[in-house]
Amino acid sequence: MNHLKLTDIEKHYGKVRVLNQINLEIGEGQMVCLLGPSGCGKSTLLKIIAGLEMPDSGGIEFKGVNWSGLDAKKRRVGMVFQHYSLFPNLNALQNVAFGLEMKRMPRKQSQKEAEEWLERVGLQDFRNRYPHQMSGGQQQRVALARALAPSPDLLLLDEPLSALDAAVRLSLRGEIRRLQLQLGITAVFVTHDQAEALAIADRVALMREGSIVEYDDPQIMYSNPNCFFTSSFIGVVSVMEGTIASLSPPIAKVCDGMVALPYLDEKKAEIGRKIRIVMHAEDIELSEGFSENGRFDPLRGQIYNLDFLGKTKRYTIRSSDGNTLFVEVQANGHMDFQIGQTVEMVVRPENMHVFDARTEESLKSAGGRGKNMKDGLLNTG
Amino acid sequence: MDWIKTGGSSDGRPISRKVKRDRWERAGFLAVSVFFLLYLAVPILATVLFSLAGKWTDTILPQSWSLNAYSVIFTSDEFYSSLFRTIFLCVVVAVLEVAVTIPAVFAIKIGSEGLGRLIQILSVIPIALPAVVLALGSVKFYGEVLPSLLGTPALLIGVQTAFGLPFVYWTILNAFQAIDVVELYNAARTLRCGALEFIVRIILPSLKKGIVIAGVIAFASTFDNFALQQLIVGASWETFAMYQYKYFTIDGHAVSALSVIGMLIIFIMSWVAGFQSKTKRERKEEDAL
Repeated sequence: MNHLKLTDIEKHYGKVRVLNQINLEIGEGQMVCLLGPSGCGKSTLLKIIAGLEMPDSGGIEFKGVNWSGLDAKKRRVGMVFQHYSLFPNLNALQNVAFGLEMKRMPRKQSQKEAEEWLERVGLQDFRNRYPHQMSGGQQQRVALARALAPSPDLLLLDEPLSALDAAVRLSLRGEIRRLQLQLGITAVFVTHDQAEALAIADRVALMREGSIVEYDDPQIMYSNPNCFFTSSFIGVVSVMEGTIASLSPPIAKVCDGMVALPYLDEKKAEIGRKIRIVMHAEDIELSEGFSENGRFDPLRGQIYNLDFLGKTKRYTIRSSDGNTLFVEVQANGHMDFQIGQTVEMVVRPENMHVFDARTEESLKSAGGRGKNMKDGLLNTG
Repeated sequence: MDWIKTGGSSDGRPISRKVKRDRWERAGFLAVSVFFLLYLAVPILATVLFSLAGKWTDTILPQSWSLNAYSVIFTSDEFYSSLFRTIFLCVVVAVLEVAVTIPAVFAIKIGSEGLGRLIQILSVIPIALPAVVLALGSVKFYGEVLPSLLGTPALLIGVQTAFGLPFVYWTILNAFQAIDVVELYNAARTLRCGALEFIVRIILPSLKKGIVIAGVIAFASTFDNFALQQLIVGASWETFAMYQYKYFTIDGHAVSALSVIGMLIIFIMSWVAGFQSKTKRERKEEDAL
């Protein structure tokens, strides 16, 4: 059963349309991420779900109850904010107990429950501390406890990890997910960080300019995106422009060479169609030597930047035809290239994502694999 | 002041140009601070000395000392009546101004931007208008609309409240900068807290210091606002300022003594208000130091 249903939600700020015909259904107990670049409308959508703002048109239903026009005070939601929003005049215990007191719970009981919640988030020793006496991570844990203590039906999180440093972000992310699963509460999580979305969401709604462009399981969105925006937003990718030269076998002409493609949907693809080829950085293989395999020569490029990322290394390569490509390899692997070195690049066709350059929709066939995938070479012939 | 001398340092090593420049800068700041301090302190000091002077004609300090001015004031029933009336007036005006301003600023902060711009324009008017014009305008207006108010303390309270609102408004507006009211109110709403409860439980305690400062400003600006008090209520409800005015042509020492008493009242009030606005934790920390 759909727990939360948004229908044709629209919102304007003056003449600017920030939400455009949003339709979204979230199942009970699911964690859904609203992901997208800054300014795409995800926080506005979250505030509309919370009842902090009202849409200009459209409807919201929760558990079959019409929420349209209902203020936040009347919706049973718990919300965690980017900058914690703890009440500065109340200590941790009082902050957590606040929502319980608003429910007119007897003081002793609300204090007891607040203490239990602080223990759940590992902050039982911080009960008397005020927000300015706590770190960002501690404040956000208190904020999480405060949001959950009144037993809301829906948990909303507006970029709760953005203001935190990397290590704290990682641990708190896990804690949020753990609590959400433990309580079985339906949650909506707003973030611009794709890694966060992929890590904790049951489903991801990717937004762009006020619309949801794709809504799916994160693994499917990563490995089989439906549109170019999804493909280019999620993961570190390289993009090449080209034209379909052949459908069987599928081949594209890119700049001054040819590239093998995965099988394409022949209802949508046609020879001469302009396309964009997207490849994830970890799917491009590097080698030093030159080799010929079949009709294709390898694409060569020169490394002009190297980023050490801990477990991986990311090379930025300028190819011989002027494209910029990103390649990620294991940092402790046997390959160790230097800036200025010329390298040869290889990618398997099934790891490519092919999109119509004009409509941005995917042209990849649903089940196909590249006929010459074992060649796996890029470019120039 | 050999720390500002140029040339060598006390141990004989040459002083760098930057160090010399820093020393001159410090000297300059000190000179400005001392000048400003003297500019403020000398008139107050002169008033205090004159209130305690017996005979003082052409010397730097009084030729003789006397507590006669204070004796005359503290043995006068009119002094106490005027003082209590004035304190009553100041407290009521301060409470009214703060009580009106806080919800207004809150409303502006959470969504009424247009209202905020209008209030900013309107808040300049009482400052731009001379108090005399404000008083006479109020007398004329209420004389036609509600003549029963003329000459009453109620009218004085109303006009004085309007006169002091800009100062209180700007002070409280500044105080609100210390917290993100919108986000805090959003958090409160999701916890089922209404606007009034939010103001009482969160805004007032969080902005205690700013509110107290606004109250002190309101109190002080009302205390010696002679023009409004004289023109609206006159002698029928004699205030401290009007009582003091009576002595202008009688005894200058008494006028000075009344000024000193007025300043002391405001200092004490500010100190008490400042102490009360500190949290228990801050007081404990100060005690520990």
